[in-house]
Amino acid sequence: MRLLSLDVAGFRNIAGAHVSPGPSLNLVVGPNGQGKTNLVEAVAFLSWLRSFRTSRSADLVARGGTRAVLRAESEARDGRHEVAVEVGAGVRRARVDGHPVRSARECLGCLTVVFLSPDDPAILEGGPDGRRMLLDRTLVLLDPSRSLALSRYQRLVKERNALLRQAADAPGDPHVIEACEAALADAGALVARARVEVLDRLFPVLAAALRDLSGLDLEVRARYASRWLPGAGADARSALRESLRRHRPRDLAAGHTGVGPHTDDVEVHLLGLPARGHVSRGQRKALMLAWKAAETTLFAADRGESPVLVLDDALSDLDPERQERLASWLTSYPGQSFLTATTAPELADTSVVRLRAAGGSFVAEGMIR
Amino acid sequence: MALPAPVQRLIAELTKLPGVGEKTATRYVLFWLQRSPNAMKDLADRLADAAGSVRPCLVCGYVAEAERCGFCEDPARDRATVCVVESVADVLAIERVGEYRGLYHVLGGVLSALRGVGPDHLRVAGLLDRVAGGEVREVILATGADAEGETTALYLARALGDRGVRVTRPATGIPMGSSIEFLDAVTLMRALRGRKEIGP
Repeated sequence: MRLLSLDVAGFRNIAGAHVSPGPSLNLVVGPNGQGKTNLVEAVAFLSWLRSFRTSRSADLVARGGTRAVLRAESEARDGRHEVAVEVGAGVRRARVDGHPVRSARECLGCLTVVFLSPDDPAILEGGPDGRRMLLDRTLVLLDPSRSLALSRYQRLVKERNALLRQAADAPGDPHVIEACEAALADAGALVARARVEVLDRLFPVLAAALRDLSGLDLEVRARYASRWLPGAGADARSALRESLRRHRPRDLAAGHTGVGPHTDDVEVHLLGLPARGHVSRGQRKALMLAWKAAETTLFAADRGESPVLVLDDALSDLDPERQERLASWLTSYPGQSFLTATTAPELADTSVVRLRAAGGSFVAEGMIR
Repeated sequence: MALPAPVQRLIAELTKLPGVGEKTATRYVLFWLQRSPNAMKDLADRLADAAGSVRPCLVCGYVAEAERCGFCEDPARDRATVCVVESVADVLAIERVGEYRGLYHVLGGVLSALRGVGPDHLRVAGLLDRVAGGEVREVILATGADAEGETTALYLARALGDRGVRVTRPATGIPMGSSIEFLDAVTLMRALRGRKEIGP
Protein backbone atom coordinates (compact mmCIF):
# COMPACT_ATOMS: atom_id res chain seq x y z
CA MET A 1 0.00 0.00 0.00
CA ARG A 2 1.41 3.39 -0.85
CA LEU A 3 0.74 7.02 -1.54
CA LEU A 4 1.25 7.92 -5.20
CA SER A 5 0.54 11.61 -4.85
CA LEU A 6 -0.50 14.04 -2.18
CA ASP A 7 -2.10 17.48 -2.53
CA VAL A 8 -2.36 19.70 0.50
CA ALA A 9 -4.01 23.14 0.49
CA GLY A 10 -4.75 25.62 3.25
CA PHE A 11 -3.52 23.15 5.88
CA ARG A 12 -1.59 24.74 8.78
CA ASN A 13 1.45 26.46 7.18
CA ILE A 14 1.06 24.66 3.86
CA ALA A 15 -0.69 27.08 1.46
CA GLY A 16 -0.55 24.63 -1.40
CA ALA A 17 1.78 21.71 -2.00
CA HIS A 18 1.90 18.82 -4.41
CA VAL A 19 4.13 15.91 -3.48
CA SER A 20 4.86 12.70 -5.36
CA PRO A 21 6.53 10.48 -2.79
CA GLY A 22 8.86 7.65 -3.67
CA PRO A 23 7.83 4.01 -3.17
CA SER A 24 10.18 3.35 -0.26
CA LEU A 25 11.73 5.77 2.24
CA ASN A 26 10.87 9.45 1.97
CA LEU A 27 12.98 11.76 4.09
CA VAL A 28 11.21 14.99 4.89
CA VAL A 29 14.05 17.29 5.89
CA GLY A 30 14.40 20.95 6.75
CA PRO A 31 14.83 23.36 9.66
CA ASN A 32 12.22 23.74 12.40
CA GLY A 33 8.88 25.31 11.53
CA GLN A 34 9.02 24.63 7.78
CA GLY A 35 6.04 22.27 7.67
CA LYS A 36 7.63 18.80 7.94
CA THR A 37 5.29 17.62 10.68
CA ASN A 38 2.33 19.30 8.98
CA LEU A 39 2.97 17.31 5.82
CA VAL A 40 3.07 13.95 7.60
CA GLU A 41 0.10 14.95 9.76
CA ALA A 42 -1.81 15.41 6.50
CA VAL A 43 -0.78 11.91 5.41
CA ALA A 44 -2.05 10.41 8.68
CA PHE A 45 -5.24 12.48 8.52
CA LEU A 46 -6.15 11.00 5.14
CA SER A 47 -6.02 7.54 6.68
CA TRP A 48 -7.55 8.05 10.13
CA LEU A 49 -9.72 11.11 9.38
CA ARG A 50 -8.32 12.70 12.50
CA SER A 51 -5.21 14.44 13.67
CA PHE A 52 -3.00 12.92 16.33
CA ARG A 53 -1.91 16.41 17.37
CA THR A 54 -5.19 18.20 17.94
CA SER A 55 -8.86 17.42 18.38
CA ARG A 56 -9.84 20.94 17.23
CA SER A 57 -10.30 20.88 13.48
CA ALA A 58 -10.02 24.68 13.35
CA ASP A 59 -6.33 24.29 14.32
CA LEU A 60 -5.71 22.50 11.04
CA VAL A 61 -6.80 25.37 8.84
CA ALA A 62 -4.18 27.84 7.61
CA ARG A 63 -4.38 31.24 9.25
CA GLY A 64 -6.95 33.43 7.52
CA GLY A 65 -8.57 30.46 5.75
CA THR A 66 -11.78 28.57 6.41
CA ARG A 67 -11.08 25.14 4.92
CA ALA A 68 -8.15 22.83 4.45
CA VAL A 69 -8.27 20.39 1.55
CA LEU A 70 -6.25 17.19 1.42
CA ARG A 71 -6.22 14.77 -1.46
CA ALA A 72 -4.26 11.61 -1.98
CA GLU A 73 -3.99 9.02 -4.67
CA SER A 74 -3.12 5.68 -3.16
CA GLU A 75 -2.37 2.23 -4.43
CA ALA A 76 -3.53 -0.76 -2.44
CA ARG A 77 -3.61 -4.45 -3.28
CA ASP A 78 -7.11 -4.06 -4.69
CA GLY A 79 -6.18 -1.15 -6.96
CA ARG A 80 -5.92 2.62 -6.96
CA HIS A 81 -8.01 4.88 -4.76
CA GLU A 82 -8.55 8.56 -4.30
CA VAL A 83 -9.11 9.86 -0.79
CA ALA A 84 -10.16 13.49 -0.38
CA VAL A 85 -10.85 15.36 2.83
CA GLU A 86 -12.13 18.84 3.48
CA VAL A 87 -11.77 20.05 7.02
CA GLY A 88 -12.57 23.25 8.89
CA ALA A 89 -14.14 24.47 12.13
CA GLY A 90 -16.79 21.84 12.92
CA VAL A 91 -16.62 20.43 9.39
CA ARG A 92 -15.08 17.23 8.09
CA ARG A 93 -16.10 15.85 4.74
CA ALA A 94 -14.32 12.84 3.37
CA ARG A 95 -14.69 11.00 0.09
CA VAL A 96 -13.16 7.75 -1.04
CA ASP A 97 -13.24 7.28 -4.81
CA GLY A 98 -15.88 10.01 -4.96
CA HIS A 99 -18.21 8.40 -2.41
CA PRO A 100 -18.80 10.20 0.89
CA VAL A 101 -17.53 8.28 3.93
CA ARG A 102 -18.24 8.97 7.57
CA SER A 103 -15.68 7.01 9.52
CA ALA A 104 -12.02 6.10 9.24
CA ARG A 105 -13.17 2.49 9.01
CA GLU A 106 -14.02 3.19 5.39
CA CYS A 107 -10.70 4.93 4.57
CA LEU A 108 -8.32 2.53 6.27
CA GLY A 109 -8.71 -0.10 3.56
CA CYS A 110 -7.55 2.30 0.84
CA LEU A 111 -4.77 4.04 2.71
CA THR A 112 -3.51 2.63 5.98
CA VAL A 113 -1.02 4.76 7.86
CA VAL A 114 0.92 3.74 10.95
CA PHE A 115 1.97 6.96 12.60
CA LEU A 116 4.49 7.76 15.32
CA SER A 117 4.25 11.21 16.82
CA PRO A 118 7.09 12.70 18.89
CA ASP A 119 4.63 12.88 21.80
CA ASP A 120 3.86 9.15 21.74
CA PRO A 121 6.83 7.96 23.86
CA ALA A 122 5.54 10.10 26.75
CA ILE A 123 2.45 7.85 26.79
CA LEU A 124 4.55 5.23 28.58
CA GLU A 125 5.11 7.68 31.44
CA GLY A 126 1.68 9.27 31.67
CA GLY A 127 -1.72 8.05 32.81
CA PRO A 128 -3.42 4.84 31.59
CA ASP A 129 -5.70 6.69 29.14
CA GLY A 130 -2.81 7.25 26.71
CA ARG A 131 -1.82 3.59 26.77
CA ARG A 132 -5.41 2.49 26.22
CA MET A 133 -5.65 4.83 23.26
CA LEU A 134 -2.41 3.44 21.85
CA LEU A 135 -3.67 -0.13 22.15
CA ASP A 136 -7.09 0.77 20.74
CA ARG A 137 -5.35 2.32 17.74
CA THR A 138 -3.52 -0.98 17.19
CA LEU A 139 -6.84 -2.79 17.56
CA VAL A 140 -8.57 -0.68 14.92
CA LEU A 141 -5.56 -0.78 12.60
CA LEU A 142 -5.57 -4.58 12.57
CA ASP A 143 -9.35 -4.89 12.42
CA PRO A 144 -11.20 -1.66 11.56
CA SER A 145 -14.55 -3.29 12.39
CA ARG A 146 -13.48 -3.25 16.07
CA SER A 147 -14.09 0.49 16.06
CA LEU A 148 -17.83 -0.28 16.20
CA ALA A 149 -17.57 -2.09 19.55
CA LEU A 150 -15.24 0.63 20.85
CA SER A 151 -17.48 3.54 19.96
CA ARG A 152 -20.54 1.67 21.19
CA TYR A 153 -18.80 1.08 24.51
CA GLN A 154 -17.68 4.71 24.81
CA ARG A 155 -21.19 5.92 24.04
CA LEU A 156 -22.70 3.64 26.70
CA VAL A 157 -20.22 4.80 29.36
CA LYS A 158 -21.34 8.37 28.67
CA GLU A 159 -24.97 7.23 28.91
CA ARG A 160 -24.38 5.56 32.26
CA ASN A 161 -22.50 8.61 33.56
CA ALA A 162 -25.43 10.81 32.57
CA LEU A 163 -27.81 8.40 34.35
CA LEU A 164 -25.65 8.48 37.49
CA ARG A 165 -25.72 12.27 37.56
CA GLN A 166 -29.47 12.36 36.96
CA ALA A 167 -30.01 9.85 39.76
CA ALA A 168 -28.12 12.15 42.12
CA ASP A 169 -30.86 14.78 41.60
CA ALA A 170 -33.82 12.40 41.55
CA PRO A 171 -33.60 8.62 41.74
CA GLY A 172 -35.33 7.37 38.60
CA ASP A 173 -36.55 3.97 37.45
CA PRO A 174 -33.80 1.46 38.48
CA HIS A 175 -34.56 -0.64 35.39
CA VAL A 176 -33.02 2.09 33.22
CA ILE A 177 -29.53 1.90 34.70
CA GLU A 178 -29.68 -1.89 34.80
CA ALA A 179 -30.55 -1.97 31.10
CA CYS A 180 -27.70 0.41 30.38
CA GLU A 181 -25.28 -1.77 32.37
CA ALA A 182 -26.37 -4.89 30.49
CA ALA A 183 -25.66 -3.22 27.14
CA LEU A 184 -22.41 -1.76 28.52
CA ALA A 185 -21.23 -5.18 29.70
CA ASP A 186 -21.88 -6.66 26.24
CA ALA A 187 -19.75 -4.07 24.45
CA GLY A 188 -17.17 -3.79 27.25
CA ALA A 189 -16.45 -7.53 27.32
CA LEU A 190 -15.79 -7.48 23.58
CA VAL A 191 -13.47 -4.50 23.89
CA ALA A 192 -11.43 -5.97 26.75
CA ARG A 193 -11.12 -9.44 25.17
CA ALA A 194 -10.03 -7.86 21.90
CA ARG A 195 -7.43 -5.74 23.70
CA VAL A 196 -5.94 -8.75 25.49
CA GLU A 197 -5.89 -10.71 22.25
CA VAL A 198 -4.11 -7.97 20.30
CA LEU A 199 -1.63 -7.32 23.13
CA ASP A 200 -0.75 -11.04 23.19
CA ARG A 201 -0.12 -10.92 19.44
CA LEU A 202 1.75 -7.62 19.48
CA PHE A 203 4.34 -8.11 22.18
CA PRO A 204 6.35 -11.07 20.87
CA VAL A 205 6.70 -9.20 17.57
CA LEU A 206 7.45 -5.97 19.41
CA ALA A 207 10.20 -7.67 21.42
CA ALA A 208 11.89 -8.84 18.21
CA ALA A 209 11.62 -5.35 16.67
CA LEU A 210 13.06 -3.79 19.81
CA ARG A 211 16.06 -6.15 19.64
CA ASP A 212 16.63 -5.06 16.01
CA LEU A 213 16.27 -1.37 16.75
CA SER A 214 18.21 -1.20 20.02
CA GLY A 215 20.69 -4.04 19.57
CA LEU A 216 19.88 -5.15 23.13
CA ASP A 217 17.52 -7.65 24.66
CA LEU A 218 15.46 -5.49 26.97
CA GLU A 219 13.13 -8.36 27.94
CA VAL A 220 10.04 -6.36 27.17
CA ARG A 221 6.77 -7.70 28.59
CA ALA A 222 3.22 -6.35 28.72
CA ARG A 223 0.20 -7.15 30.83
CA TYR A 224 -3.36 -5.98 30.42
CA ALA A 225 -4.14 -4.66 33.88
CA SER A 226 -7.81 -4.79 34.75
CA ARG A 227 -9.64 -4.85 38.06
CA TRP A 228 -12.65 -6.69 36.70
CA LEU A 229 -11.63 -8.88 33.76
CA PRO A 230 -11.57 -12.60 34.66
CA GLY A 231 -9.03 -15.01 33.14
CA ALA A 232 -9.39 -16.43 29.67
CA GLY A 233 -12.34 -18.78 29.35
CA ALA A 234 -14.40 -17.12 32.09
CA ASP A 235 -17.47 -15.08 31.18
CA ALA A 236 -16.24 -11.47 30.84
CA ARG A 237 -19.72 -10.13 30.19
CA SER A 238 -21.18 -11.41 33.48
CA ALA A 239 -18.05 -10.30 35.34
CA LEU A 240 -18.37 -6.75 34.05
CA ARG A 241 -22.06 -6.65 34.78
CA GLU A 242 -21.45 -7.82 38.32
CA SER A 243 -18.65 -5.28 38.81
CA LEU A 244 -20.83 -2.45 37.54
CA ARG A 245 -23.62 -3.45 39.91
CA ARG A 246 -21.24 -3.65 42.88
CA HIS A 247 -19.69 -0.32 41.95
CA ARG A 248 -22.98 1.48 41.53
CA PRO A 249 -23.20 3.09 45.01
CA ARG A 250 -19.65 4.46 44.68
CA ASP A 251 -20.31 5.54 41.07
CA LEU A 252 -23.49 7.34 42.14
CA ALA A 253 -21.49 9.35 44.66
CA ALA A 254 -18.69 10.07 42.17
CA GLY A 255 -20.97 10.84 39.23
CA HIS A 256 -19.05 8.64 36.82
CA THR A 257 -18.35 5.01 36.03
CA GLY A 258 -15.33 3.81 37.98
CA VAL A 259 -14.88 0.32 36.58
CA GLY A 260 -14.66 -1.21 33.11
CA PRO A 261 -12.38 -1.27 30.07
CA HIS A 262 -12.14 2.54 30.17
CA THR A 263 -10.25 2.27 33.50
CA ASP A 264 -7.92 -0.56 32.46
CA ASP A 265 -4.21 -0.13 31.76
CA VAL A 266 -1.38 -1.66 29.78
CA GLU A 267 1.58 -2.33 32.04
CA VAL A 268 4.88 -2.51 30.20
CA HIS A 269 8.00 -3.96 31.80
CA LEU A 270 11.61 -3.70 30.64
CA LEU A 271 14.24 -5.93 32.23
CA GLY A 272 11.72 -6.82 34.90
CA LEU A 273 11.05 -3.21 35.87
CA PRO A 274 7.90 -1.19 35.13
CA ALA A 275 8.52 1.03 32.07
CA ARG A 276 6.82 3.82 33.96
CA GLY A 277 9.55 5.68 35.81
CA HIS A 278 12.38 3.22 35.11
CA VAL A 279 13.37 3.86 31.51
CA SER A 280 15.34 6.56 29.74
CA ARG A 281 13.94 8.86 27.06
CA GLY A 282 15.89 6.98 24.43
CA GLN A 283 14.53 3.62 25.60
CA ARG A 284 10.99 4.97 25.58
CA LYS A 285 11.52 6.17 22.04
CA ALA A 286 12.94 2.81 20.97
CA LEU A 287 10.04 0.99 22.64
CA MET A 288 7.50 3.15 20.85
CA LEU A 289 9.28 2.67 17.52
CA ALA A 290 9.21 -1.08 18.14
CA TRP A 291 5.47 -0.86 18.90
CA LYS A 292 4.84 0.79 15.53
CA ALA A 293 7.19 -1.59 13.74
CA ALA A 294 5.27 -4.51 15.27
CA GLU A 295 2.00 -2.99 14.05
CA THR A 296 3.32 -2.93 10.50
CA THR A 297 4.50 -6.55 10.75
CA LEU A 298 1.14 -7.81 12.04
CA PHE A 299 -0.76 -5.76 9.49
CA ALA A 300 1.38 -7.17 6.69
CA ALA A 301 0.90 -10.72 8.02
CA ASP A 302 -2.90 -10.25 8.00
CA ARG A 303 -3.33 -8.35 4.75
CA GLY A 304 -0.40 -9.31 2.62
CA GLU A 305 0.72 -5.69 2.16
CA SER A 306 2.59 -3.23 4.34
CA PRO A 307 0.97 -0.05 5.63
CA VAL A 308 2.46 3.38 5.00
CA LEU A 309 4.75 4.06 7.96
CA VAL A 310 5.09 7.66 9.12
CA LEU A 311 7.70 8.51 11.74
CA ASP A 312 7.69 12.10 12.85
CA ASP A 313 10.96 13.22 14.42
CA ALA A 314 11.92 9.64 15.26
CA LEU A 315 15.69 10.18 15.28
CA SER A 316 15.84 12.65 18.16
CA ASP A 317 16.57 11.19 21.60
CA LEU A 318 18.34 8.25 19.94
CA ASP A 319 22.12 7.88 20.19
CA PRO A 320 24.12 7.68 16.91
CA GLU A 321 24.20 3.87 16.95
CA ARG A 322 20.42 3.64 17.47
CA GLN A 323 19.87 6.28 14.76
CA GLU A 324 21.88 4.18 12.34
CA ARG A 325 19.96 1.05 13.28
CA LEU A 326 16.66 2.84 12.70
CA ALA A 327 17.81 4.22 9.35
CA SER A 328 18.93 0.82 8.15
CA TRP A 329 15.71 -0.79 9.41
CA LEU A 330 13.74 1.85 7.50
CA THR A 331 15.62 1.34 4.25
CA SER A 332 14.75 -2.35 4.43
CA TYR A 333 11.10 -1.67 5.31
CA PRO A 334 9.07 -3.49 2.63
CA GLY A 335 6.50 -0.69 2.26
CA GLN A 336 6.49 3.06 1.85
CA SER A 337 7.67 5.21 4.73
CA PHE A 338 8.12 8.84 5.71
CA LEU A 339 10.65 10.13 8.20
CA THR A 340 10.93 13.74 9.26
CA ALA A 341 14.27 15.08 10.47
CA THR A 342 16.08 18.39 10.77
CA THR A 343 19.20 16.91 9.17
CA ALA A 344 19.11 14.02 6.76
CA PRO A 345 20.97 10.91 7.85
CA GLU A 346 23.56 9.63 5.41
CA LEU A 347 21.97 6.84 3.45
CA ALA A 348 23.55 4.99 0.56
CA ASP A 349 20.24 3.64 -0.73
CA THR A 350 19.42 5.29 -4.06
CA SER A 351 15.68 4.66 -3.77
CA VAL A 352 15.44 7.20 -0.95
CA VAL A 353 13.60 10.39 -1.85
CA ARG A 354 14.41 13.60 -0.02
CA LEU A 355 11.63 16.13 0.35
CA ARG A 356 13.21 19.40 1.40
CA ALA A 357 10.78 21.53 3.39
CA ALA A 358 10.93 25.33 3.23
CA GLY A 359 8.09 27.60 4.28
CA GLY A 360 5.38 25.00 3.69
CA SER A 361 6.70 23.93 0.27
CA PHE A 362 8.43 20.66 -0.52
CA VAL A 363 11.03 20.10 -3.18
CA ALA A 364 11.90 16.52 -4.08
CA GLU A 365 15.52 15.53 -4.44
CA GLY A 366 16.91 12.12 -5.30
CA MET A 367 15.04 9.42 -7.11
CA ILE A 368 11.88 10.55 -8.84
CA ARG A 369 9.57 7.91 -10.22
CA MET B 1 -31.77 42.62 -4.01
CA ALA B 2 -32.45 40.07 -1.24
CA LEU B 3 -35.66 38.05 -1.28
CA PRO B 4 -38.59 39.63 0.61
CA ALA B 5 -38.81 38.83 4.33
CA PRO B 6 -41.82 36.43 4.17
CA VAL B 7 -40.00 34.33 1.56
CA GLN B 8 -36.85 34.27 3.68
CA ARG B 9 -38.86 33.18 6.75
CA LEU B 10 -40.40 30.37 4.72
CA ILE B 11 -36.96 29.22 3.55
CA ALA B 12 -35.71 29.28 7.14
CA GLU B 13 -38.71 27.17 8.22
CA LEU B 14 -38.08 24.57 5.51
CA THR B 15 -34.44 24.13 6.52
CA LYS B 16 -35.75 22.55 9.75
CA LEU B 17 -36.81 19.53 7.67
CA PRO B 18 -34.45 16.54 7.77
CA GLY B 19 -32.00 16.57 4.87
CA VAL B 20 -33.01 20.04 3.68
CA GLY B 21 -30.37 22.77 3.67
CA GLU B 22 -30.73 26.38 2.64
CA LYS B 23 -30.01 25.66 -1.01
CA THR B 24 -32.70 22.99 -1.30
CA ALA B 25 -35.19 25.07 0.71
CA THR B 26 -34.64 28.02 -1.62
CA ARG B 27 -35.14 25.78 -4.65
CA TYR B 28 -38.47 24.51 -3.26
CA VAL B 29 -39.76 28.00 -2.52
CA LEU B 30 -38.72 29.38 -5.92
CA PHE B 31 -40.42 26.40 -7.55
CA TRP B 32 -43.70 27.21 -5.80
CA LEU B 33 -43.38 30.90 -6.56
CA GLN B 34 -42.81 30.26 -10.26
CA ARG B 35 -45.40 27.52 -10.67
CA SER B 36 -48.64 29.43 -10.24
CA PRO B 37 -50.01 32.03 -7.89
CA ASN B 38 -52.20 29.40 -6.23
CA ALA B 39 -49.56 26.70 -5.76
CA MET B 40 -48.50 28.01 -2.36
CA LYS B 41 -52.06 28.57 -1.26
CA ASP B 42 -52.87 24.94 -2.13
CA LEU B 43 -49.90 23.73 -0.13
CA ALA B 44 -50.93 25.87 2.82
CA ASP B 45 -54.44 24.35 2.68
CA ARG B 46 -53.00 20.81 2.65
CA LEU B 47 -50.83 21.62 5.65
CA ALA B 48 -53.77 23.09 7.52
CA ASP B 49 -55.89 20.03 6.64
CA ALA B 50 -53.29 17.63 7.95
CA ALA B 51 -52.63 19.69 11.06
CA GLY B 52 -56.33 19.89 11.86
CA SER B 53 -57.35 16.31 11.19
CA VAL B 54 -54.61 13.98 12.40
CA ARG B 55 -53.16 13.31 15.82
CA PRO B 56 -51.27 10.46 17.52
CA CYS B 57 -53.44 7.41 18.27
CA LEU B 58 -54.33 7.42 21.97
CA VAL B 59 -53.53 3.71 22.23
CA CYS B 60 -50.41 3.15 20.13
CA GLY B 61 -49.11 6.55 19.02
CA TYR B 62 -49.44 5.87 15.27
CA VAL B 63 -50.94 8.63 13.09
CA ALA B 64 -54.74 8.65 13.52
CA GLU B 65 -57.69 10.60 12.19
CA ALA B 66 -59.77 9.76 15.25
CA GLU B 67 -58.88 8.80 18.83
CA ARG B 68 -57.68 5.41 17.60
CA CYS B 69 -55.69 4.65 14.47
CA GLY B 70 -56.51 2.32 11.60
CA PHE B 71 -54.42 -0.53 13.08
CA CYS B 72 -56.06 -0.36 16.49
CA GLU B 73 -59.56 -0.25 14.89
CA ASP B 74 -58.88 -3.05 12.37
CA PRO B 75 -60.70 -6.24 13.50
CA ALA B 76 -58.49 -8.34 11.21
CA ARG B 77 -55.28 -7.52 13.15
CA ASP B 78 -54.02 -9.94 15.80
CA ARG B 79 -54.68 -8.13 19.08
CA ALA B 80 -52.53 -10.50 21.15
CA THR B 81 -49.27 -9.29 19.59
CA VAL B 82 -47.81 -5.81 19.99
CA CYS B 83 -44.73 -4.68 18.13
CA VAL B 84 -42.88 -1.86 19.91
CA VAL B 85 -41.03 0.55 17.59
CA GLU B 86 -39.23 3.87 17.91
CA SER B 87 -41.13 5.84 15.28
CA VAL B 88 -43.96 5.93 12.78
CA ALA B 89 -41.40 5.40 10.02
CA ASP B 90 -40.54 2.02 11.59
CA VAL B 91 -44.22 1.00 11.39
CA LEU B 92 -44.22 1.81 7.68
CA ALA B 93 -41.03 -0.21 7.17
CA ILE B 94 -42.49 -3.28 8.91
CA GLU B 95 -45.79 -2.93 7.03
CA ARG B 96 -43.91 -2.91 3.71
CA VAL B 97 -42.71 -6.43 4.49
CA GLY B 98 -46.33 -7.60 4.74
CA GLU B 99 -45.41 -10.37 7.20
CA TYR B 100 -46.68 -8.91 10.45
CA ARG B 101 -50.39 -8.98 11.36
CA GLY B 102 -50.36 -7.72 14.95
CA LEU B 103 -50.68 -4.25 16.48
CA TYR B 104 -48.02 -1.60 17.09
CA HIS B 105 -46.79 0.63 19.85
CA VAL B 106 -44.84 3.73 18.80
CA LEU B 107 -42.52 4.82 21.63
CA GLY B 108 -41.72 8.19 20.09
CA GLY B 109 -37.95 7.80 20.53
CA VAL B 110 -35.41 5.84 22.56
CA LEU B 111 -33.96 6.19 26.04
CA SER B 112 -30.97 8.52 26.10
CA ALA B 113 -29.76 10.04 29.32
CA LEU B 114 -27.35 12.19 27.29
CA ARG B 115 -30.23 13.79 25.43
CA GLY B 116 -32.40 13.88 28.56
CA VAL B 117 -34.88 11.24 27.34
CA GLY B 118 -36.17 9.01 30.13
CA PRO B 119 -39.08 6.53 30.26
CA ASP B 120 -41.46 9.40 31.09
CA HIS B 121 -40.70 11.07 27.76
CA LEU B 122 -41.69 7.97 25.79
CA ARG B 123 -44.99 6.04 25.54
CA VAL B 124 -43.81 3.53 28.12
CA ALA B 125 -46.63 3.91 30.66
CA GLY B 126 -49.15 3.43 27.83
CA LEU B 127 -47.43 0.18 26.83
CA LEU B 128 -47.53 -1.15 30.39
CA ASP B 129 -51.23 -0.24 30.56
CA ARG B 130 -51.93 -2.10 27.33
CA VAL B 131 -50.19 -5.18 28.65
CA ALA B 132 -52.03 -4.91 31.98
CA GLY B 133 -55.29 -5.01 29.99
CA GLY B 134 -54.72 -8.77 29.63
CA GLU B 135 -55.34 -9.16 25.89
CA VAL B 136 -51.64 -9.01 24.90
CA ARG B 137 -49.71 -12.31 24.84
CA GLU B 138 -46.50 -11.22 23.10
CA VAL B 139 -44.57 -7.98 22.97
CA ILE B 140 -41.96 -7.67 20.19
CA LEU B 141 -39.26 -5.15 21.06
CA ALA B 142 -38.30 -3.81 17.62
CA THR B 143 -36.16 -0.85 18.63
CA GLY B 144 -32.90 -0.27 16.73
CA ALA B 145 -29.71 -2.27 17.27
CA ASP B 146 -27.61 0.81 18.15
CA ALA B 147 -26.56 1.54 21.74
CA GLU B 148 -29.72 3.48 22.65
CA GLY B 149 -32.12 1.12 20.88
CA GLU B 150 -30.52 -1.85 22.61
CA THR B 151 -30.66 -0.16 26.03
CA THR B 152 -34.31 0.72 25.45
CA ALA B 153 -35.15 -2.90 24.57
CA LEU B 154 -33.29 -4.19 27.63
CA TYR B 155 -35.15 -1.66 29.76
CA LEU B 156 -38.58 -2.63 28.39
CA ALA B 157 -37.75 -6.32 28.84
CA ARG B 158 -37.17 -5.59 32.53
CA ALA B 159 -40.22 -3.36 32.91
CA LEU B 160 -42.38 -6.04 31.26
CA GLY B 161 -40.58 -8.88 32.99
CA ASP B 162 -43.12 -9.93 35.60
CA ARG B 163 -46.30 -9.24 33.65
CA GLY B 164 -46.79 -12.68 32.22
CA VAL B 165 -46.29 -11.82 28.56
CA ARG B 166 -43.83 -13.29 26.12
CA VAL B 167 -41.20 -10.64 25.33
CA THR B 168 -39.22 -11.10 22.11
CA ARG B 169 -36.68 -9.18 20.05
CA PRO B 170 -36.25 -9.49 16.27
CA ALA B 171 -33.09 -11.41 15.33
CA THR B 172 -29.99 -9.35 14.65
CA GLY B 173 -27.05 -10.78 12.82
CA ILE B 174 -25.50 -11.64 9.53
CA PRO B 175 -26.92 -9.45 6.76
CA MET B 176 -28.21 -11.40 3.76
CA GLY B 177 -25.55 -11.91 1.15
CA SER B 178 -22.54 -11.15 3.34
CA SER B 179 -19.82 -13.44 4.60
CA ILE B 180 -18.81 -14.10 8.21
CA GLU B 181 -15.18 -13.14 7.61
CA PHE B 182 -15.92 -9.44 7.24
CA LEU B 183 -18.43 -9.00 10.08
CA ASP B 184 -17.63 -6.81 13.06
CA ALA B 185 -17.44 -8.40 16.50
CA VAL B 186 -20.69 -6.90 17.85
CA THR B 187 -22.74 -8.17 14.93
CA LEU B 188 -21.11 -11.58 14.95
CA MET B 189 -21.60 -12.00 18.70
CA ARG B 190 -25.30 -11.17 18.29
CA ALA B 191 -25.65 -13.54 15.38
CA LEU B 192 -24.08 -16.41 17.33
CA ARG B 193 -26.16 -15.74 20.39
CA GLY B 194 -29.35 -15.67 18.34
CA ARG B 195 -28.57 -18.86 16.40
CA LYS B 196 -31.45 -21.13 15.46
CA GLU B 197 -31.79 -24.82 14.84
CA ILE B 198 -31.87 -25.69 11.19
CA GLY B 199 -33.82 -28.64 9.76
CA PRO B 200 -32.36 -31.38 7.57
